[in-house]
Amino acid sequence: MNFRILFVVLTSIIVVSIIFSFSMDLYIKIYDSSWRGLLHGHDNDGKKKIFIIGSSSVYSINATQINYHLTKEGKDYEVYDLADMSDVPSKRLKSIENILANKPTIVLYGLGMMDFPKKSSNELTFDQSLNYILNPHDFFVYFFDELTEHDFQQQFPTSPRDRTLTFLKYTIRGPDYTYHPFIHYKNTPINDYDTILEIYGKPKFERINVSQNSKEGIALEKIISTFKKNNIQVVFFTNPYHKLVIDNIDDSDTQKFISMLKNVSKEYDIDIFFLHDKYADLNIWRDPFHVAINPDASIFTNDVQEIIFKEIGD
Amino acid sequence: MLFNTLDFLIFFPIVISFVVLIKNRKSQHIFIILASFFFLYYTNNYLIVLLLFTTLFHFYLGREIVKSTTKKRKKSLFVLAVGGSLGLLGFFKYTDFAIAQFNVLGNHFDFGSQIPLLNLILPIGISFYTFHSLSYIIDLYRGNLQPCNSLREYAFFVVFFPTLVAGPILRASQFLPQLREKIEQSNVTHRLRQILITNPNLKFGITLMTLGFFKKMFFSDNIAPFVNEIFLNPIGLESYSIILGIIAFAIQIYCDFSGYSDIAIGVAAIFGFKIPLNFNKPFFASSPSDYWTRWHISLSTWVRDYLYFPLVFKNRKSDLRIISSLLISMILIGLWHGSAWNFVIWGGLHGIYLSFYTIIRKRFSFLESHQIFKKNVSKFFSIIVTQYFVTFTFIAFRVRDLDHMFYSMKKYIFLDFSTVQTIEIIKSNEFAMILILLFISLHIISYKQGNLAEKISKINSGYWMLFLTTIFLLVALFYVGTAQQFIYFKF
Repeated sequence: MNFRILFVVLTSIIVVSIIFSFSMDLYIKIYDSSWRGLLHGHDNDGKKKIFIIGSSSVYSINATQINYHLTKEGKDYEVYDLADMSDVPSKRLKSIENILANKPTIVLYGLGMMDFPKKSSNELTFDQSLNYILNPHDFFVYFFDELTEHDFQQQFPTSPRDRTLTFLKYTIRGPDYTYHPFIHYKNTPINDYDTILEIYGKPKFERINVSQNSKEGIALEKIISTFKKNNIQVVFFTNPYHKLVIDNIDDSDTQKFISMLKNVSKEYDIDIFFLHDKYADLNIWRDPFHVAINPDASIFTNDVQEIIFKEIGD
Repeated sequence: MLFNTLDFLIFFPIVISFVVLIKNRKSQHIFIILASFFFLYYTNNYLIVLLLFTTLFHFYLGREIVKSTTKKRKKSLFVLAVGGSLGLLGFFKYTDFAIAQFNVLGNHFDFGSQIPLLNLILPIGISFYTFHSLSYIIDLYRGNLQPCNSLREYAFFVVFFPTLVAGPILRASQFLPQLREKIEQSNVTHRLRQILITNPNLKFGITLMTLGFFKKMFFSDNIAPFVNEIFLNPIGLESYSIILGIIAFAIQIYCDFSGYSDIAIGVAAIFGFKIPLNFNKPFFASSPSDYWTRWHISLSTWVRDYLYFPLVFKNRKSDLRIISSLLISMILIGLWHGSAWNFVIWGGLHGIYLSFYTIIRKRFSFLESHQIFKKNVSKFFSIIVTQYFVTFTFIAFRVRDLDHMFYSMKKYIFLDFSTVQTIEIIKSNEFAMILILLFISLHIISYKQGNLAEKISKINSGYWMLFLTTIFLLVALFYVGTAQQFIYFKF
C-alpha cells in the first residue's frame, strides 16, 4: 500500500478540520461581534441582573413579561433568560466564566431529572459492563463521549448547515437586522394530551444518577460553589414536565432527584422551588418536555416571576 | 452501524489496518467475517442469530442439494432452502401486515374479535442477506455455480459487511469467483485468495466513498426537510408544489440509496472486490424497461433472473403471460420494500408501465428502427415522458396515507396552474431549490462524462487532494447535525 494516498487523505481531513472549526463561529460573530460576552455593551441602566439558566425546558419563560412587571413595581432588576439547548451542569460549567463576567446578582437555575443521565457516571458497574458487551454502541458512547453525536450536538446546538447558511446569507445579501441566530421568540402551539402522545409517543428514560460522584453531580457542585464564591445568590427550581413524563419516569428516580436537590440546597443555603409536576395535567404543553411559548401558557412565567419577587424581597 | 457516523469512521480504518497487518489469508478471511458479524451486531444486537442461522442453513443445504443423487431429493431440499429463508423474511416483515389486513376483513364481515399485532422488530439487512443466500441456492440448484468448499468462503460472501445491511444485493455467481485465487486471467482455482489492498483500488474506493458521502450528506439530508414539509400534509397544496416535492423526493432517495451503494461499492473495491453498479443515471432513462436497467440494478436483475424469466419462460409469446409475469414481479419488488399498500401500488404502477411498454414494443417493433426515434429530440422527449411517469410512482413510494397519496396523484395529473403557494414555498426553501438545480447540473455532467469516479481516481495526487478537500468541506459545512438514517435501512 502506497502511503502517498493516505497522506493525501489525512492532509485533506486536517485542512477541512481547520477550516471547519474556524468557520463555525463566523455566523455568530457577524451578528454580534461580542457574542461570547453577549451582554457586554447592553445598556440596562445599571440595573441588577437576574439570570435564568437551564435547558430548553426554561426557554419558554418570558423574560420580557417579568421585566415589565419588575419595572412597573419599581424594582431595580433586569431578567435575562439564558436557556441553552440540551444544557446539563457539565455543559453549563464550561461557560460559567461568561456568566461571572456579567456579574449577575441572582441566578435562577432550572434543573431537571434528564440533566443527570446515568451514562454520565464515572463508575462502571457490573450491570453496565454487561450491557456494554451486549450493546457495543452504548459502549462506544460511554468511552468516546467527547466525540459522539450527543456531545457534538451539545457543542453545536445550531447545526453546521444552519451556521453556514446564515453566514452565506449575510455574505451574499448583507445584514438582515430582523434576524438574529439567538433570538427568535416565536409562539409555539399548545398541543393536547392525545396530540402529544401521537406525535412524540411515550417518552423512554434511562435511569438517572444523582450521586455526588457522577459527572453531572460534580459539575453542579462546582457551579454552585463558584457562584457562592462570587457572592451570587442561587435559586433552584425544577423543570416542569408533562404528565406523560411524570407517569413514565421511575418514582425512585424522582425521589432521588428531589433529595439530592434538598441536600445541595441545605449545604449551600439555596432556596428551592419544585415545579416538575405542578403543570403536568394542564393544557399548556408543546411537547412532553417544553411548555409552549404562548400567552395561554403563561402560568410557568407567572410562577417564576413570583419566585423572583419573593427572592428580591417583595 | 451507519456509514455516515463516527462509529464507522473508526471501525473501517481498524478493519483495513488489520487486513493489511494480517498476512495469513485464512486469518484475513476469518477476521473480515468476524468484523462483518460485529458490524451487524452493533445495531442489530441479538437478531444477529438470524444471520448466523441463514448462513449455516444455506451452506449445508446447498451442499446437500449438490450431493443429491435423485431429482426428487434435490427439489425437496431446494424447496426447503427457499421456503426457509422466505419464511423467515416473511415472518419478520409481513406478519403484522397480514394480521392487519385480516383484521380489516374481519371488521368488514363482523367477525367480532381481532388478532393482536405481534409488533415484530424488522431485523436490519434481512431483505438483503436473504436475497444473497437465495441467489446462491438457486444458482446451485440450476447447476450454474460450483458450491463453496468451506463455510468460511460461504460466510464471507453472505456477511461481507459493506453490502450486508442495505445492499447492493450480491450474486454468488459474481462474487464467489472474485474470492477465489486466479492462476491466469480466466482460470479460477478453489483456493481462496489473499486480500491485498492495492493503490488503484484504494484510490478508486476512497473516491467512490467520498462521492457516496457527498450524495447522502450534502444532497439527500439537506433536501429531506423540504420533502417532509411538502408531504407531511399535502392536502390543499397546489399542483406545482406537489410536483416540486416529488421531484425533490426522487433526488433525495436517489442520492440516499445510490450514495449508500457508492460507499458500499467503494469499501468493497478497497478490499479488491468489484461489485456491479447499483444505479446508472436513472434520470436519463428513456423507457420503463430502460429505467429498470438503471435503478436499483442489483434488485431488478435479481428479480428478472430468478422470478420474471422463470414465470414468463413457459410461454413468452402470450401477452397475458408477459403482463401477469411483469405485474407479479413488480408488485413483489414493491412488497420487498415494505409491507404496506403504498409499496404495492408503487410496484403495480411500474408493472403496468412495463407491460404497456413491452406490448407496444412487441406489436409495433418496426417503430424502433424508424428514423424519427433515432433523433436526439426524440430521445429527449422519451426521457421527459419516462421521467414524468416514473416520478408519478414516487408519490406512492413516499406518501403512505392513502388520502394524501390520491390527492397528490390527482394534483400531479390534473394541473391546477396555480402558483401563489408554490412561489412562497420556493422562497422559503431557497437552499433546497439550489441543491435541486445543482444536482441536476452535476447529474448531466456525470451522464456526459461516463464513469466519473474512475476518472477522478486517475487524476494526479494534487488535484485528487483538491477534490477530496472540496467534497469533505461541503459535507462538513452543510452537515445537518445528526446522522440521518439511510432510507433503505428500513427495507
